[in-house]
Amino acid sequence: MLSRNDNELLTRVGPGTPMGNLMREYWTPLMHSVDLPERDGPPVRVRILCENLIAFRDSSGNVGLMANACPHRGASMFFGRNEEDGLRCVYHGWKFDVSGQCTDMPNEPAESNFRHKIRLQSYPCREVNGIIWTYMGSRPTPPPFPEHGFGMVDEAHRGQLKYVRECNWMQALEGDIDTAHLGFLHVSFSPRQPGPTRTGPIPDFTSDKAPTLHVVNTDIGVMYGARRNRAEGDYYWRVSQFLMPIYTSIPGFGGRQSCKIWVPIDDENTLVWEPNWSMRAPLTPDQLKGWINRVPPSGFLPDTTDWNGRFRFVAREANDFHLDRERQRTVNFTGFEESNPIQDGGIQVTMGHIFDRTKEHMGTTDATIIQVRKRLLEAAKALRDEGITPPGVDMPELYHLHGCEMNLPEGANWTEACKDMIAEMA
Amino acid sequence: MLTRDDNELLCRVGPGTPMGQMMREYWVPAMLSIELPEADGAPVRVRLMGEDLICFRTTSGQPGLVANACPHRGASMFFGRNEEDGLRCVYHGWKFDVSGTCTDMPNEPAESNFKHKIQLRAYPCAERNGIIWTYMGTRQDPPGLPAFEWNMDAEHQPFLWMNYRECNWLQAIEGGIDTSHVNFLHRTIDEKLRSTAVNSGPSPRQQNDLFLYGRRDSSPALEVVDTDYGVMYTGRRSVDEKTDYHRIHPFIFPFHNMIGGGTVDDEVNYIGMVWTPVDDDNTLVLEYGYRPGKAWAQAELEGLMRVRNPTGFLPATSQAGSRWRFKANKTNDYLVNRDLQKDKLFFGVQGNPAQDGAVQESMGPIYDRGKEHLGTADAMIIRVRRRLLEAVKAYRDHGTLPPGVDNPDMYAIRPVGAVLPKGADWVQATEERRKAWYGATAKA
Repeated sequence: MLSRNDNELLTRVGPGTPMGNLMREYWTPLMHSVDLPERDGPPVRVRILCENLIAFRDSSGNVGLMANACPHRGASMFFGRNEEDGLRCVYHGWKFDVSGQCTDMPNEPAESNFRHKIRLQSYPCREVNGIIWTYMGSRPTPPPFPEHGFGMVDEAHRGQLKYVRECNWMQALEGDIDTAHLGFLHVSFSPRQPGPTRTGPIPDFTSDKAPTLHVVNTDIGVMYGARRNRAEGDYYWRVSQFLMPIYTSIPGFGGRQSCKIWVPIDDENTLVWEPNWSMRAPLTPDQLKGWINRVPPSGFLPDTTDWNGRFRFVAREANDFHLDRERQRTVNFTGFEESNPIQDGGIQVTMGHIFDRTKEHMGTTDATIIQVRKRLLEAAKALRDEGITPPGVDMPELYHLHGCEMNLPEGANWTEACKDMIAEMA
Repeated sequence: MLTRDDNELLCRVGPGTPMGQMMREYWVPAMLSIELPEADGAPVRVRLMGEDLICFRTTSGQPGLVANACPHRGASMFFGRNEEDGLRCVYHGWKFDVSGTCTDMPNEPAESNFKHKIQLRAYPCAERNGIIWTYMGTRQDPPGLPAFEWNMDAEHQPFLWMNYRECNWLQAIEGGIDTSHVNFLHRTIDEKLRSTAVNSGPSPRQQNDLFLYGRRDSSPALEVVDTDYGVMYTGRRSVDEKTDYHRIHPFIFPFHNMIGGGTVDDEVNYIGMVWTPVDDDNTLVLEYGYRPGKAWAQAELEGLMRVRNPTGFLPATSQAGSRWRFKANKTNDYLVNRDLQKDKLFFGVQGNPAQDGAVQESMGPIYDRGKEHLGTADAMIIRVRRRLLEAVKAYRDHGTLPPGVDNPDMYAIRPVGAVLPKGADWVQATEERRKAWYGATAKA
């Protein structure tokens, strides 16, 4: 349970909010390179952290991310002409480069120096291995670039799946550090479409539905091990990471690692990234689209140019996420489509777009969620009250952490075992 | 840049607001006569300055404009029976004439005098040459109708139409007094398209003026002059070493402007707009085009319509102003075509009004003028805001009537274009040409 104040502090991410300021200290993934393919191509509306922005790729291939409103009289830069290394407002021809500097003001006298005084608000971008990142914080020089496993590999080694969840980022993220729901929400009554043969431990979420949680802080977040009893007498350990401020990593398998990024579009919408990756081998075309069963059979809505017009599933709040009561009786536990993101979305969105956490009742299997909230709240308050840089901003090398799973005997040290596995995968 | 207070003062026009009250001192266009074709025809929803109203034409052909809500228990008069010189509420049969007087109250005893105490709020209307004007102010006797040349000649009807803009009236009219955007927003890159319906100007001759003179100089020098009717300015563009091309356009209280004056009077299509606030967030733009003493052929009118609105209107509904909504609108990014944008049209949206609407609506319903950065090309906008602020504050604080209310002949003016020697006195040089033929100052 959270107080109303802490819930507001945790969930609101607009400009000037404590959590919004915290997130702006970090590099944030904005879009995939393929989302902005062409030099001098059409600008794209992007909403991120409650800000309406325009992204474009200039003639030299640089990515620009700027305010929607032209500083002259507020016309939208979405309609702008993307030409000759800059975006030109169609109203009076003012032109801006990717740094936001006004480079041409053709409706003012040639001798005027007015244009040197005008800037369009813009955010620095970096494009690395097929992902465009942006820094929306206040430092003149952005912090060092985080060394996420998924960001260090070529795009052929990484899944491309992204989708919108119509709820606050935190309640979406909480679903990924909540191992106990695996024994319920995602249970199918018969095996799903078979995936690739798994190596390593085979998780069984149904024979022990009440895992024991062991939660520890890391330098950049929270790690937990969930211990489940096995018929063989030992334990199945499932270790997941939360990395500040919006990353989670559950165990991967088949030589691939798993990560999710919970990028706030605004307080009530989240863009979920699933950049699952393999250090060792390129992914197959199917794997590039996402792990098996991640995209529901009903698929995606057609894209629009609107602020929140892309990466939207057909199954959504407006149609009860395609809930089918017959399917609930015979096929799976929920009656939603056989797709975890739809099942997760179905229950997270319907909590209300920002869940009122004064009304919840937490049990022992919510220990990770409690700890992650605490880390985030502490960090946001430390930044707000004392200007303390939040964990990880200046520690790029720590982002190599990821989830892993293993079978261990009674008394074995799960944190050491996990460390060894991560070192081995690197 | 404006303070938040001044921005609010300028933009808000609902009942009781200073600007709303000041605008109500003037006659304003409620609708076109063609929107209310039949005596005893279906009533039509109208929304003006934040008020929901119902317009109807009586048995004897008179237009009436009344409040939407029946004074009895608030049922909408839109559903009313328009019969025998009055509008009858369908709920209990109360009937009202165009003055709002209750003429029948059949659900009360015949001997009751209750109906004599009941009024439906009604605004006087005056129909002149295709326009139904209304006066929403407080005077018992409304002032005279403004003597706009475009509305004075019954024999030669102007090209007359409206378009619905989803933004505040002020940011819309600011586009009408902003000459420098013409070189950008409305620019045709591919000259072959210049005279086609894709993106052409008001008339071949004026287009020629713009092309010959206007396009060469994209940073016009603005000179602004206060007048009795409002503000006049020239946008001066250099033609060659000796001459300048002037576009001399007025802003007229409270929400009129004129544009497109050509350099050769006989070939001119005079154009103007009336930016009537629907409410704080929406504007109905009445647009007219006329050639004094000349009529438009039907084919010409159709051609003008194609040029002004190439993509057409949405199907009309019974909602206020719905017949004037463009197919190219906010929900579809105004059908912007990025291929056309590359090398044919500077913007890629077709038709000047849709181009204007796109950028103005993209500022948000009421633009926060605390965020703008105005340059020398915005001098006219700055002055017009100042005049409006002065007038509304004088009206609010001292009851001073704003310019023109009691001087209807003042409106008999024209916009002009002129090529003049550099350094010429453009005000004096164009004095005669800026007078209208019709109205009190009719050409002798």
